[in-house]
Amino acid sequence: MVDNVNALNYIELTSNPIRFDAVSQLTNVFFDDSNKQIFAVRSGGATGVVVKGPTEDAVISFCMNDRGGAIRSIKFSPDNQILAVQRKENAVEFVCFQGEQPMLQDIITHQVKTLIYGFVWVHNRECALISNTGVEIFCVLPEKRQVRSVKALSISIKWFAWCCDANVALLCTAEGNNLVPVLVKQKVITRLPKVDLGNPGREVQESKVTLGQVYGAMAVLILQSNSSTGMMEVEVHLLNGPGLAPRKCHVLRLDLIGRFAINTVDNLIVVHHQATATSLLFDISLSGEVINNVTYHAPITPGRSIKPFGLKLPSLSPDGQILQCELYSINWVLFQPNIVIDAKLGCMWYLNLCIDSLCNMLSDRIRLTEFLLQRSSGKQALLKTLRQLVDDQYKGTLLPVLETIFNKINKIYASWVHLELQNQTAQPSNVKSSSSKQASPPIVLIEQDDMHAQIFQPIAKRPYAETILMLYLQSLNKYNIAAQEELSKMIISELINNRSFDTLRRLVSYSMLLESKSIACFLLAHSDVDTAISQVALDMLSKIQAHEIIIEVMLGEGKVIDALRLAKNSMGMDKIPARKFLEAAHKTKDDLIFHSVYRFFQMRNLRQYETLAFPKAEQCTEFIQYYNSTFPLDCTNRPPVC
Amino acid sequence: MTKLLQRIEVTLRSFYIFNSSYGQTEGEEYKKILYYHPNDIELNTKIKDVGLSEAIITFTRTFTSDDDCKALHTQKTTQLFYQPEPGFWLVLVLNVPKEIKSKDGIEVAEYRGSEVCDRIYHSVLRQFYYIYRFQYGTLQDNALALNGDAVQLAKKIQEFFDKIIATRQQLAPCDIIDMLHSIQYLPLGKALFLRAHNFSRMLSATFPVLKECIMLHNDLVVCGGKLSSVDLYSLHAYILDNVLESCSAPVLARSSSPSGSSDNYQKGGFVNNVPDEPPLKVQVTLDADLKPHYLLIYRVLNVTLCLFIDAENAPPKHEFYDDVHTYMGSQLISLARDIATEVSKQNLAALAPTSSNSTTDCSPKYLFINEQSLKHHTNVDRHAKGQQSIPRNVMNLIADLANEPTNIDGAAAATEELQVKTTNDFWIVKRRCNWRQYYVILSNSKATLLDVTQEAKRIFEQELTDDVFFDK
Repeated sequence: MVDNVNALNYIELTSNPIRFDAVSQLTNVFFDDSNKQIFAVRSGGATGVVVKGPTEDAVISFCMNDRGGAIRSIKFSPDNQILAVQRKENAVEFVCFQGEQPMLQDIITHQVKTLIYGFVWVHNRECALISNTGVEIFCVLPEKRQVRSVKALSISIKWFAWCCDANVALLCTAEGNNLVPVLVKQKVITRLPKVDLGNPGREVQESKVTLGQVYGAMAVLILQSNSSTGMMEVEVHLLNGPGLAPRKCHVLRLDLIGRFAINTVDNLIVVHHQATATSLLFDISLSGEVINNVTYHAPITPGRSIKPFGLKLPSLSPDGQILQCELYSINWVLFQPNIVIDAKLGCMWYLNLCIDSLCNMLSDRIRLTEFLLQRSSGKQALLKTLRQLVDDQYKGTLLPVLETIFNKINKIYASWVHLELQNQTAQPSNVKSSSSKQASPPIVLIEQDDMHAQIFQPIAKRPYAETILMLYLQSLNKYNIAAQEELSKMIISELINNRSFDTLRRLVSYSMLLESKSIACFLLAHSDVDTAISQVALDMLSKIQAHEIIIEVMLGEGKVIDALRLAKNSMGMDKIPARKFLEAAHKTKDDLIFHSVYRFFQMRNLRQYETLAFPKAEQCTEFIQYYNSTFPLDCTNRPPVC
Repeated sequence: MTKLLQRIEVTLRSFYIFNSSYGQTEGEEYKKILYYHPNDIELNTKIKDVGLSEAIITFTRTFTSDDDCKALHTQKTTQLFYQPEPGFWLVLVLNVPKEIKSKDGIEVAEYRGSEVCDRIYHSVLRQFYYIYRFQYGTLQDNALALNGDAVQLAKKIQEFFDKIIATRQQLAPCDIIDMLHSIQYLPLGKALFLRAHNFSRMLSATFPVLKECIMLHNDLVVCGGKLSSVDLYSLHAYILDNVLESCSAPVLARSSSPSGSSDNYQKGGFVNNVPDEPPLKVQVTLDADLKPHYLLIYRVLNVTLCLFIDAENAPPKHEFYDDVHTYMGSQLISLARDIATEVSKQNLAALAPTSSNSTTDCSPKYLFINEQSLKHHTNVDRHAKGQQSIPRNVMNLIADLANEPTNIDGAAAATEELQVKTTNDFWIVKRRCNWRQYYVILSNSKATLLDVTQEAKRIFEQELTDDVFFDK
């Protein structure tokens, strides 16, 4: 185990375990996976009960009487106000709490005639008892010191398993050994279609079944050996059929034999193998071999051990003492989804993924992308991987890989963009706007701004940047996402940098870049590089009808007449500022142009104010003087043409 | 009483290339002549013709700058001069169109010299030179390579131009579009365009020795990369003459069925791929300088891919061809299929409306040119059989109105609008703005200026959506 310190590990225990009193002659330890609370019960509760979880600092401690009979199970209600304790096989006691202290005088004992296998809280005041005859929901009424039956389902049961995240109990029926999932919610018990085990006579042991949630669906994981090879496999039945009917969708090939335990971490299925002290990672969203609509998966990478954990022991010396914990110990108990408890050591950990080392282990970049896109912490890792691909790992032959990665990222991005768009458009007409819940964004959402800032910007001005950007643009276009400002600007600068004017021209004519005044002005700013750019800039301005900018450009180029013509057509006669045009005409030092412009405004004055003279507000005095001095005859002798 | 008996269109009288600095000594004048077509006339006549041209050039130089001598009109001929490189002159002599009329029983030849448009034929001449340069490089470099051996140079030039002249005997139908040296791009949807573009880029990235990669579909350019428009035009002309022609089947018109020509290239393969022989060398400007490059031509279905390799490298080995073929073969086939599907869809869509209202000769014609990309958009049918849709004088007039596309430097020319009425009742409306020229040709004898303005406006609006030249 120590040899593995330097090896790469893809799974680790949380660095700050929840510590509790280890199991001993006096202390019993219980874990409630619904509330993720660990109960250390000393002397049957008489000398104290310490409840910790789900974090180290959430602690409740109290004392209660040892009322005879060892505690079999102990669980708080979700609001920590009622404690349910089972000491006998046919009775459950409910202890009401005031604050953090039990009201020991008001214990409600609920006795039944059946054999209780266990109980779960489904609501603050409702508790479901699962016994050999069925499932029954009771309502606890502390004020009346009474328990009332709310709902019951009669079915004879061998054993059961509970998945707190999905509120589903999996019952193994006594008759026929069927596995029946039952949805247990407040006041409701719904029996779901049974799990198809293939072979009718097949009997599944309780220890071979794990319940978990993967990608939003409840999963029944059944360990079994392959009939031909004898190697162990995990059957994955997902409750995602019609009416939550379970379907056998996946088989995880372990290619090992021995004892296994299963966790789920970040939608990955982790299968721990005790004999080799390794854990195998499976992702059912990745592709695999498909036979009869069932996907057969191999582990993502060869099995590796959990990262070694050094536990800092309380010590007086400042450097402390580090205890290397034994991994895959026989004292380990695993709970769903990702809880590891070492009862002997008194530690409770959560399992976490080491995304960064996984990035190094998965050499297939496309598969890695698919993998990271499903991980809650995948975004930064994926961006980092991509950054390496376009930077120091860049090769021309990598372009097809990049293209595929872009497509995978943008497929998710597009679904989000379109969902948001739908929400925006549906909002006003939707009457029950309060009920329309905000859709949750995808697990990993990499938008074009992320790509621009983190991937493209660092490789700006490199010879291949244009090629990569064009690939990205193609991918965006494939999913009908319009390029935004930052990306458009960067594409433009790379195209200009590489003098790919023809491509630029075509992108603008296809409207594949953002069309805005700011982009057009960005183009204009580069028009000194090549005239092709100014043509493209003007095209874009005219597409977005930004006539006022075109007029400014024309005035700047001394094309006063052209500008005036455009102004007349776009602004309307009466809104043209005379001073601006006269000033520009004056600057050209071309008297013909000045004369034409001046006459144009005189005619306008005549139409608008019924006089040739300019209104004072237009501040044209200097130009009137210039006109009169340049064309002295013109203003006195000739009558207005009308 | 005059009666038109016969009309003879423009024909090529002679074409020659000379350099005055060769053969300075008396009696060696023949060395000046680098090429003369037709070849089978007396040497003395050739020397005399060249001498005359030299004299005219020297004479005009007195009044204008060095290469301002452009054309000389005589009653029966039009001579066009072009000096692409210092000292080297190309001269094209045309017989002007001739109408033989019977006047009171006597046959009289009437020469229609004014029907020859200098600008059109001048650009034909220029095109001759560019095609030569594309394959052999500049004349100057050629001369240097041969240590100034005029005889050797003449031999080389002759080899080339004999072929060119043979294919370009028909000078009559030259028109404005020949003059523009325009390049037609394949109108593709943006998704396919990006795919084609990125395919080319990925190929160059995978094989870094490939400097550039140009894709054509039949005779239309799909993506032109960074090749300058002049080079692209020459490449296009070369491909059209040598590659597509040699594969039989007329592929000039976009609508022509891709029969025969592409059969040999169902699976794709290099054209002229002779092992152990260096591939074709062409002269193109890729990194600021005109440099020789190897040109590899790959064809699959209707797509032609032109790959350029810097000729400073060793000529590509047989394995290289195989590698490239294996890498891109299947990708290109699927791309070519998708392009073909889209093109046939477009053709169907384009055919539908025109079949309902058949375009008559008097319907308005238009021609739009982008000076920057040298792209044009027109409904003038150049290869129409029988009667020409647009009379020659109108064509020539447009050629005279047209601004030289090569003269683009600095700011955009001023916006202009012109309306011209010809003697045979045609109206030409020209507009120019933002490096684009638009022409509308109307035929209506009764139209007033106002009618023409409105009709032109209607066509501009109909054909120029968003007031932007769309690449149709």
